[in-house]
Amino acid sequence: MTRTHVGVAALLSLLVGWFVFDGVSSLVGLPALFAQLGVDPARVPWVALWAGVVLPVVLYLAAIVVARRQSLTRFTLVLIVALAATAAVRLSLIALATGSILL
Amino acid sequence: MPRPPAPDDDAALRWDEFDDPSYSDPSLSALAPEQGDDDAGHDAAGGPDGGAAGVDAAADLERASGARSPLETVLTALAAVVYLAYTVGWIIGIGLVPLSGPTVAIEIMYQFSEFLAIIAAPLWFAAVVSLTRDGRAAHRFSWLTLGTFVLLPWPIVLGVLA
Repeated sequence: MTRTHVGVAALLSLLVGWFVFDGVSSLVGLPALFAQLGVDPARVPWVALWAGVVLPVVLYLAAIVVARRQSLTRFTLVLIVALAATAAVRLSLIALATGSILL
Repeated sequence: MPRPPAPDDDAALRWDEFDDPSYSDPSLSALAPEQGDDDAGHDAAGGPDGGAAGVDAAADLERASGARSPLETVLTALAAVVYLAYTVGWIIGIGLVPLSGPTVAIEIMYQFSEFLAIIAAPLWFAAVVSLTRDGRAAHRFSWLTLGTFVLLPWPIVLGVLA
Protein backbone atom coordinates (compact mmCIF):
# COMPACT_ATOMS: atom_id res chain seq x y z
CA MET A 1 0.00 0.00 0.00
CA THR A 2 1.29 3.41 -0.96
CA ARG A 3 0.67 6.67 0.86
CA THR A 4 -2.03 7.47 -1.68
CA HIS A 5 -3.79 4.22 -0.82
CA VAL A 6 -3.68 5.16 2.85
CA GLY A 7 -4.96 8.67 2.05
CA VAL A 8 -7.91 7.34 0.07
CA ALA A 9 -8.71 4.84 2.81
CA ALA A 10 -8.56 7.60 5.42
CA LEU A 11 -10.79 9.90 3.38
CA LEU A 12 -13.45 7.25 2.78
CA SER A 13 -13.28 6.16 6.41
CA LEU A 14 -15.13 9.38 7.24
CA LEU A 15 -18.22 7.77 5.76
CA VAL A 16 -17.56 4.64 7.82
CA GLY A 17 -17.42 6.91 10.85
CA TRP A 18 -20.84 8.28 9.98
CA PHE A 19 -22.27 4.76 9.64
CA VAL A 20 -20.82 3.86 13.04
CA PHE A 21 -22.24 7.05 14.55
CA ASP A 22 -25.65 6.20 13.11
CA GLY A 23 -25.39 2.67 14.45
CA VAL A 24 -24.51 3.92 17.93
CA SER A 25 -27.42 6.36 17.77
CA SER A 26 -29.78 3.50 17.00
CA LEU A 27 -28.19 1.35 19.70
CA VAL A 28 -28.92 4.05 22.25
CA GLY A 29 -32.15 5.43 20.85
CA LEU A 30 -34.16 2.38 19.82
CA PRO A 31 -34.32 0.71 23.26
CA ALA A 32 -35.47 4.07 24.66
CA LEU A 33 -38.11 4.29 21.93
CA PHE A 34 -39.26 0.74 22.72
CA ALA A 35 -39.57 1.68 26.38
CA GLN A 36 -41.50 4.81 25.48
CA LEU A 37 -43.91 2.79 23.34
CA GLY A 38 -44.35 0.24 26.11
CA VAL A 39 -42.87 -2.61 24.10
CA ASP A 40 -41.48 -5.55 26.02
CA PRO A 41 -37.72 -4.89 26.53
CA ALA A 42 -37.03 -8.51 25.61
CA ARG A 43 -38.06 -7.66 22.06
CA VAL A 44 -35.27 -5.13 21.60
CA PRO A 45 -33.29 -6.39 18.55
CA TRP A 46 -29.89 -6.25 20.19
CA VAL A 47 -28.22 -8.38 17.50
CA ALA A 48 -29.30 -6.03 14.70
CA LEU A 49 -28.37 -2.98 16.76
CA TRP A 50 -24.88 -4.22 17.55
CA ALA A 51 -24.42 -5.40 13.98
CA GLY A 52 -25.19 -1.86 12.86
CA VAL A 53 -22.22 -0.67 14.91
CA VAL A 54 -19.75 -3.42 14.07
CA LEU A 55 -20.49 -4.29 10.43
CA PRO A 56 -19.41 -0.97 8.84
CA VAL A 57 -15.94 -1.38 10.36
CA VAL A 58 -15.73 -5.07 9.50
CA LEU A 59 -16.77 -4.57 5.87
CA TYR A 60 -14.39 -1.65 5.42
CA LEU A 61 -11.42 -3.47 6.92
CA ALA A 62 -12.20 -6.54 4.83
CA ALA A 63 -12.26 -4.37 1.70
CA ILE A 64 -8.87 -2.88 2.60
CA VAL A 65 -7.39 -6.35 3.14
CA VAL A 66 -8.84 -7.70 -0.11
CA ALA A 67 -7.74 -4.76 -2.26
CA ARG A 68 -4.49 -3.75 -0.59
CA ARG A 69 -2.34 -5.05 -3.46
CA GLN A 70 -4.49 -3.57 -6.23
CA SER A 71 -3.87 -0.38 -8.16
CA LEU A 72 -5.21 2.86 -6.69
CA THR A 73 -8.23 2.87 -9.00
CA ARG A 74 -9.21 -0.69 -8.15
CA PHE A 75 -8.49 -0.10 -4.46
CA THR A 76 -10.81 2.91 -4.44
CA LEU A 77 -13.48 0.99 -6.35
CA VAL A 78 -13.44 -1.84 -3.81
CA LEU A 79 -13.69 0.60 -0.88
CA ILE A 80 -16.64 2.36 -2.51
CA VAL A 81 -18.31 -1.01 -3.06
CA ALA A 82 -17.78 -1.77 0.63
CA LEU A 83 -19.39 1.54 1.59
CA ALA A 84 -22.34 0.88 -0.73
CA ALA A 85 -22.72 -2.62 0.73
CA THR A 86 -22.60 -1.09 4.21
CA ALA A 87 -25.43 1.28 3.28
CA ALA A 88 -27.50 -1.64 1.97
CA VAL A 89 -26.82 -3.77 5.05
CA ARG A 90 -27.69 -0.81 7.29
CA LEU A 91 -31.10 -0.43 5.67
CA SER A 92 -31.66 -4.18 5.92
CA LEU A 93 -30.84 -4.06 9.63
CA ILE A 94 -33.19 -1.12 10.13
CA ALA A 95 -35.94 -3.04 8.34
CA LEU A 96 -35.28 -6.10 10.50
CA ALA A 97 -35.11 -4.07 13.73
CA THR A 98 -38.17 -1.90 13.15
CA GLY A 99 -40.05 -4.85 11.70
CA SER A 100 -39.83 -6.41 15.14
CA ILE A 101 -42.21 -3.70 16.37
CA LEU A 102 -44.78 -4.56 13.73
CA LEU A 103 -44.51 -8.35 13.83
CA MET B 1 0.87 12.05 -68.96
CA PRO B 2 1.13 8.38 -67.97
CA ARG B 3 -2.05 6.42 -67.95
CA PRO B 4 -3.15 5.03 -64.59
CA PRO B 5 -3.06 1.25 -64.31
CA ALA B 6 -6.26 -0.47 -65.21
CA PRO B 7 -8.36 -1.19 -62.11
CA ASP B 8 -8.46 -4.82 -61.08
CA ASP B 9 -12.15 -5.50 -60.57
CA ASP B 10 -11.52 -8.94 -59.07
CA ALA B 11 -8.99 -7.82 -56.44
CA ALA B 12 -11.57 -7.88 -53.65
CA LEU B 13 -12.53 -11.43 -54.53
CA ARG B 14 -9.06 -12.91 -54.12
CA TRP B 15 -7.10 -13.69 -50.94
CA ASP B 16 -3.60 -13.30 -52.19
CA GLU B 17 -2.40 -10.00 -50.73
CA PHE B 18 0.96 -10.86 -49.22
CA ASP B 19 1.19 -7.49 -47.48
CA ASP B 20 -1.98 -8.23 -45.55
CA PRO B 21 -0.87 -9.28 -42.01
CA SER B 22 -3.83 -11.63 -41.72
CA TYR B 23 -2.83 -13.52 -44.82
CA SER B 24 -1.44 -16.99 -44.26
CA ASP B 25 -0.16 -19.25 -46.92
CA PRO B 26 -1.48 -22.80 -46.37
CA SER B 27 1.76 -24.30 -47.67
CA LEU B 28 3.77 -22.35 -45.06
CA SER B 29 1.41 -22.89 -42.16
CA ALA B 30 1.91 -26.65 -42.50
CA LEU B 31 5.54 -26.12 -41.54
CA ALA B 32 4.79 -23.83 -38.61
CA PRO B 33 5.21 -26.36 -35.72
CA GLU B 34 8.75 -27.18 -36.81
CA GLN B 35 9.75 -23.65 -37.68
CA GLY B 36 7.97 -21.74 -34.93
CA ASP B 37 10.12 -20.28 -32.19
CA ASP B 38 7.32 -19.43 -29.77
CA ASP B 39 6.62 -21.24 -26.51
CA ALA B 40 3.74 -23.23 -27.92
CA GLY B 41 5.96 -24.64 -30.63
CA HIS B 42 8.57 -25.74 -28.10
CA ASP B 43 5.95 -27.22 -25.84
CA ALA B 44 4.42 -29.19 -28.67
CA ALA B 45 7.79 -30.63 -29.62
CA GLY B 46 8.97 -31.01 -26.05
CA GLY B 47 9.29 -33.96 -23.72
CA PRO B 48 6.72 -36.49 -22.58
CA ASP B 49 4.54 -33.82 -20.99
CA GLY B 50 4.64 -31.66 -24.05
CA GLY B 51 0.96 -32.27 -24.71
CA ALA B 52 -0.09 -31.05 -21.27
CA ALA B 53 2.18 -28.06 -21.54
CA GLY B 54 0.67 -27.29 -24.90
CA VAL B 55 -2.79 -27.39 -23.35
CA ASP B 56 -1.61 -25.02 -20.61
CA ALA B 57 -0.19 -22.67 -23.17
CA ALA B 58 -3.47 -22.75 -25.06
CA ALA B 59 -5.36 -22.01 -21.85
CA ASP B 60 -3.03 -19.11 -21.11
CA LEU B 61 -3.52 -17.81 -24.60
CA GLU B 62 -7.28 -18.11 -24.24
CA ARG B 63 -7.18 -16.33 -20.87
CA ALA B 64 -4.94 -13.59 -22.22
CA SER B 65 -7.24 -12.99 -25.15
CA GLY B 66 -10.18 -12.58 -22.77
CA ALA B 67 -12.07 -15.54 -24.20
CA ARG B 68 -14.34 -17.31 -21.73
CA SER B 69 -16.30 -20.50 -21.85
CA PRO B 70 -19.96 -20.26 -22.86
CA LEU B 71 -20.99 -21.64 -19.45
CA GLU B 72 -19.09 -18.88 -17.71
CA THR B 73 -20.69 -16.28 -19.92
CA VAL B 74 -24.16 -17.67 -19.25
CA LEU B 75 -23.56 -17.74 -15.48
CA THR B 76 -22.28 -14.18 -15.54
CA ALA B 77 -25.35 -13.09 -17.48
CA LEU B 78 -27.55 -14.91 -14.97
CA ALA B 79 -25.80 -13.10 -12.13
CA ALA B 80 -26.33 -9.82 -13.97
CA VAL B 81 -30.07 -10.51 -14.04
CA VAL B 82 -30.08 -11.31 -10.31
CA TYR B 83 -28.16 -8.14 -9.47
CA LEU B 84 -30.48 -6.10 -11.68
CA ALA B 85 -33.42 -7.56 -9.77
CA TYR B 86 -31.67 -6.61 -6.52
CA THR B 87 -31.30 -3.04 -7.78
CA VAL B 88 -35.01 -2.84 -8.55
CA GLY B 89 -35.71 -4.42 -5.17
CA TRP B 90 -33.69 -1.75 -3.41
CA ILE B 91 -35.37 1.07 -5.36
CA ILE B 92 -38.74 -0.26 -4.18
CA GLY B 93 -37.45 -1.22 -0.73
CA ILE B 94 -36.20 2.29 0.04
CA GLY B 95 -39.80 3.44 0.16
CA LEU B 96 -40.65 0.72 2.67
CA VAL B 97 -38.12 2.04 5.20
CA PRO B 98 -39.39 5.48 6.16
CA LEU B 99 -36.39 7.34 7.51
CA SER B 100 -36.18 11.04 8.21
CA GLY B 101 -33.28 12.78 9.84
CA PRO B 102 -33.82 15.19 12.73
CA THR B 103 -31.46 17.70 11.14
CA VAL B 104 -30.73 18.71 7.57
CA ALA B 105 -27.21 17.25 7.72
CA ILE B 106 -28.44 13.88 8.94
CA GLU B 107 -31.26 13.93 6.38
CA ILE B 108 -28.69 14.52 3.63
CA MET B 109 -26.66 11.58 4.91
CA TYR B 110 -29.77 9.41 5.02
CA GLN B 111 -30.56 10.29 1.41
CA PHE B 112 -26.96 9.65 0.39
CA SER B 113 -26.89 6.26 2.11
CA GLU B 114 -30.14 5.34 0.37
CA PHE B 115 -28.51 6.25 -2.93
CA LEU B 116 -25.52 4.09 -2.00
CA ALA B 117 -27.84 1.17 -1.19
CA ILE B 118 -29.48 1.44 -4.61
CA ILE B 119 -26.17 1.42 -6.48
CA ALA B 120 -24.63 -1.25 -4.25
CA ALA B 121 -25.71 -4.21 -6.39
CA PRO B 122 -24.58 -2.85 -9.78
CA LEU B 123 -21.35 -1.58 -8.21
CA TRP B 124 -20.61 -4.97 -6.66
CA PHE B 125 -21.30 -6.75 -9.95
CA ALA B 126 -19.19 -4.34 -11.99
CA ALA B 127 -16.32 -4.49 -9.50
CA VAL B 128 -16.30 -8.30 -9.39
CA VAL B 129 -16.47 -8.66 -13.16
CA SER B 130 -13.73 -6.11 -13.78
CA LEU B 131 -11.43 -7.35 -11.02
CA THR B 132 -11.74 -11.03 -11.96
CA ARG B 133 -11.47 -10.53 -15.71
CA ASP B 134 -8.06 -12.19 -15.85
CA GLY B 135 -8.62 -14.50 -12.92
CA ARG B 136 -10.21 -17.86 -12.36
CA ALA B 137 -13.92 -18.33 -12.83
CA ALA B 138 -14.25 -19.76 -9.30
CA HIS B 139 -13.14 -16.44 -7.82
CA ARG B 140 -15.65 -14.51 -9.86
CA PHE B 141 -18.60 -16.69 -8.92
CA SER B 142 -17.59 -16.92 -5.28
CA TRP B 143 -17.66 -13.13 -4.98
CA LEU B 144 -20.89 -12.87 -6.96
CA THR B 145 -22.51 -15.49 -4.70
CA LEU B 146 -21.32 -13.66 -1.59
CA GLY B 147 -22.85 -10.47 -2.95
CA THR B 148 -26.25 -12.09 -3.36
CA PHE B 149 -26.25 -12.80 0.38
CA VAL B 150 -24.86 -9.46 1.54
CA LEU B 151 -27.00 -7.29 -0.70
CA LEU B 152 -30.32 -9.12 -0.33
CA PRO B 153 -32.96 -6.35 -0.16
CA TRP B 154 -34.47 -7.28 3.20
CA PRO B 155 -36.96 -4.38 3.27
CA ILE B 156 -38.82 -5.76 0.27
CA VAL B 157 -38.33 -9.39 1.40
CA LEU B 158 -39.91 -8.55 4.75
CA GLY B 159 -42.62 -6.61 2.96
CA VAL B 160 -43.46 -9.62 0.81
CA LEU B 161 -43.37 -11.97 3.83
CA ALA B 162 -45.62 -9.65 5.81
